[in-house]
Amino acid sequence: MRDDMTTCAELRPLLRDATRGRLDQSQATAVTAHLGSCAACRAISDEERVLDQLLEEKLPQHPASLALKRRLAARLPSVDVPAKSARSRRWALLALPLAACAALVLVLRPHTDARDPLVDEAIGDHLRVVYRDQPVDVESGGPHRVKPWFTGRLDFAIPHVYGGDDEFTLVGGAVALFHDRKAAMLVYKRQLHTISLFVFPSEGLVLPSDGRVRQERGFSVVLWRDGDLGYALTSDLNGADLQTLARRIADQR
Amino acid sequence: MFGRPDASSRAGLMREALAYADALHDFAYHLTANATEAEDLVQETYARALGAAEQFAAGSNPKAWLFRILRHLFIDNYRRERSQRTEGGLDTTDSEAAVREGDPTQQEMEQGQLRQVVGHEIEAALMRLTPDARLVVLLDLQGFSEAETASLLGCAPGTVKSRLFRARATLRELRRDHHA
Repeated sequence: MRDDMTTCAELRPLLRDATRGRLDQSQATAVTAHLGSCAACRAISDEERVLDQLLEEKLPQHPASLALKRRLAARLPSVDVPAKSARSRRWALLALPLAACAALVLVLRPHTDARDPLVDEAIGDHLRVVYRDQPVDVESGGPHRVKPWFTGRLDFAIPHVYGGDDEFTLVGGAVALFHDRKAAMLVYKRQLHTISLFVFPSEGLVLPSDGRVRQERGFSVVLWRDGDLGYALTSDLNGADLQTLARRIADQR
Repeated sequence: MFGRPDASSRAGLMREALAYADALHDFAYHLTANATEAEDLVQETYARALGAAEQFAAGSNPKAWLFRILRHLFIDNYRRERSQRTEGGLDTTDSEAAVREGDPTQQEMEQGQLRQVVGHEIEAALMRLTPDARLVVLLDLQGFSEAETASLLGCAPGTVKSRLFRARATLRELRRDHHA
């Protein structure tokens, strides 16, 4: 019994990692085996899952107001402009450090560049989606509204549009560019997180086949190929959640 | 090559930072439980971020960087308030000082809006945590790893793990108490 209690004490802090898929194989097996035989830990594990669900799905969201975003956007690009009032002095003072930072980014970037250019492309395109006032041209009424909208607007046909579910809501779509070609762009939401999916002809592009999540600059990116089409799914969601959506999109076929 | 960067690269950096405005505001709101304070915190965060831009290392995570700044500002404000009120403590457990007034649960229940009740219930439970505990729960919710959170909070990953474990246990207990 004492051994069991020790095991409970050791394993309970691992339950969180288990639900997040952060355990190695042997730890995951140990946790699963223990949960199979310990009702108390199983109850805690179930409660943890409910807690996750509550925090992720029910916790009220408090996004920045449009007014705040506009204030920030209006002020940030103005750092090049000399300050004319005491009020804007602080923002003006930011110009030099910002220039230094940007220079640093430019100078150091090639040295850190073992990066996949398509991951950078996906993040850049995702940021353009996030920053657009009107990210989609057709709003979702479900996949049967979004998919036909693309007909005649693209020089390829998209076989399916994943219509979303309780966790991931399809916001809508638009025609966009990915790399050097036209793409169907779909936007999904999970709570405050915006998720962009670019679907494009994959000819000439080197796309990974492992379906692994790439992490860059705080973003998660999943790239994959299906037939003649390439897919780029990007968000600031955690990697596990994004991979879940990638799997659901890929399984649509 | 080493000169002043062009306007487009500066704009790119700014756009990237601005993409986190919603997440930062949500984080700030759940730390302060006050919309005005949350907006002030976010505005100040962007001002500080740009002011300290030379400290931002290329290739590092701008989202973590912004959250770190916001967290520092929140702690500074909290300490300032605390010294004015001379009560509570950042590391004390579940102090009444951390509990915000106006738990909306009862009111919402009267309205029979179950979904909102559940949402407010979990939000009220979150607000009952100490600021330190709330921080780790919110950062975990934002998808930061323990290592990233540790770097963000300036502590060891093991501390984050145990703090998160305790915080979530407290949340589970608060929910249980609420339903008892």
